Amino acid sequence: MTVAQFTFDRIEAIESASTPSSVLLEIQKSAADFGLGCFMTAFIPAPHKPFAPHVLLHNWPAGWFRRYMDSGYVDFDPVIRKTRNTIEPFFWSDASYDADKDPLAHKVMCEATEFRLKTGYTVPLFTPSGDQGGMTFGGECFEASPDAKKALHLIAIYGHGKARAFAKPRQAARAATPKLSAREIEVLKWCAAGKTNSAIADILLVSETTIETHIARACRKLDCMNRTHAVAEAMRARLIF
Amino acid sequence: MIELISGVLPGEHPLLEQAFRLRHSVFVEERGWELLRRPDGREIDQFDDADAVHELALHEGVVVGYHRMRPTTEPHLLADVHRHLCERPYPRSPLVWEWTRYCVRRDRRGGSVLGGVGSELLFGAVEWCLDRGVQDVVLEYHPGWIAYFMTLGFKVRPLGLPTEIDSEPIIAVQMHFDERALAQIRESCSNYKPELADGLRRERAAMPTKRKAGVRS
Repeated sequence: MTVAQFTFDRIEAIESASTPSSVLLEIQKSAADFGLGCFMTAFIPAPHKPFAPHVLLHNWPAGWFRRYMDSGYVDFDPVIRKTRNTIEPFFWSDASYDADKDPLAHKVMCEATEFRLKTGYTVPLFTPSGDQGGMTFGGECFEASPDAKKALHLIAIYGHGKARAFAKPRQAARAATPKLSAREIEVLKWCAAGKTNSAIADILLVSETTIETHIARACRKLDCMNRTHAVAEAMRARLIF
Repeated sequence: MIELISGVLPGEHPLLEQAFRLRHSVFVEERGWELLRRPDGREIDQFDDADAVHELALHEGVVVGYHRMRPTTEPHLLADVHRHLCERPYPRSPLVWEWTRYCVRRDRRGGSVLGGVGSELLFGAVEWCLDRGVQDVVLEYHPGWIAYFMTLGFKVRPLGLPTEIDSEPIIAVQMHFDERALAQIRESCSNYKPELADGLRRERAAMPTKRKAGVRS
């Protein structure tokens, strides 16, 4: 089998996985084929914010995961730092730091080796909303052929995408779909059709202020910042079509 | 505002000349694709014939963004020049189009990854395709864009593995989309203005009907 075919098969297995744990198993299997036992896929939080809520999937050793989270290592980890600054996949060894000037970075990398995370490969990812994240693979040694790097690059992209898709509905389910009034729905439909507030006011024979009030109320109910966001959110929640 | 130009050859449309100069400044002068360099500063290739649909983003009459669409039933870049990027059967069909030469003028790139003009172009291309029943495109880009487009609701299928061209990793993909993607692009474009879409609709109404029929058949 060619590497391409192998990679396509793995991606298809990831895409058709029906539970987060089966996605985890598929990614784990792919990483293990290249000698990498561990992986994590996550978004990177703002500085000094907790990392754990941003982790989508991982199979890190429990002791290392706990220590990393409890000690806020995300703020010092040179691999995280490099993930913020590049879109190209890289080896952990390329996430350089000065051990004298940056003892905390050195501490993170040294302690990782206690948990058999001696070498690794990280694939940075970005989204339209500007969120940065990625998938990182770690282990004791990595057979880094050019084909292995290509395969892991794609497996990371699809694994992260699938993990994110599972995370989203869970967040959505927590907040039950809000109820919009018939008038609010009507106004959002006109927004979706590309009408300005004053045009909608003319169509519905009310004042522009009334339209603004309807939109503001819909935004509040949908927890949205602006009308565009509200329209997209209403479409996703199938309140408008 | 989005303007669509098709059925013309280089030299026949003043706005298109501006677009060729924008392409030259982005792809040759900025990104260093030296093979495309031309002494007259217009980046034009063999695929800029009458079958190409040129999508231009205009701000106050000036071309600030550009994107080219071609039917895969005609010769095109991926199938005829970069075929080695593909390791799967090639999806040639009247319902699959190729997107190439996506670019935004340097001083108009936004704070977010895509930015205002970029979203405008993408929105225009997706709406144009959906209007013709086209839900699949083929293109080549940095693999990082796969995750980006998946977030926007595109189904992205790799046609090959990432391959280095001029020390940049490039992957050939087929992307499938529907109206939901349109809603997501609209959301991601923070400075989206409905009149952009209105402009697009006006342009679309002015498009030659011959082409619409050709795509659907």
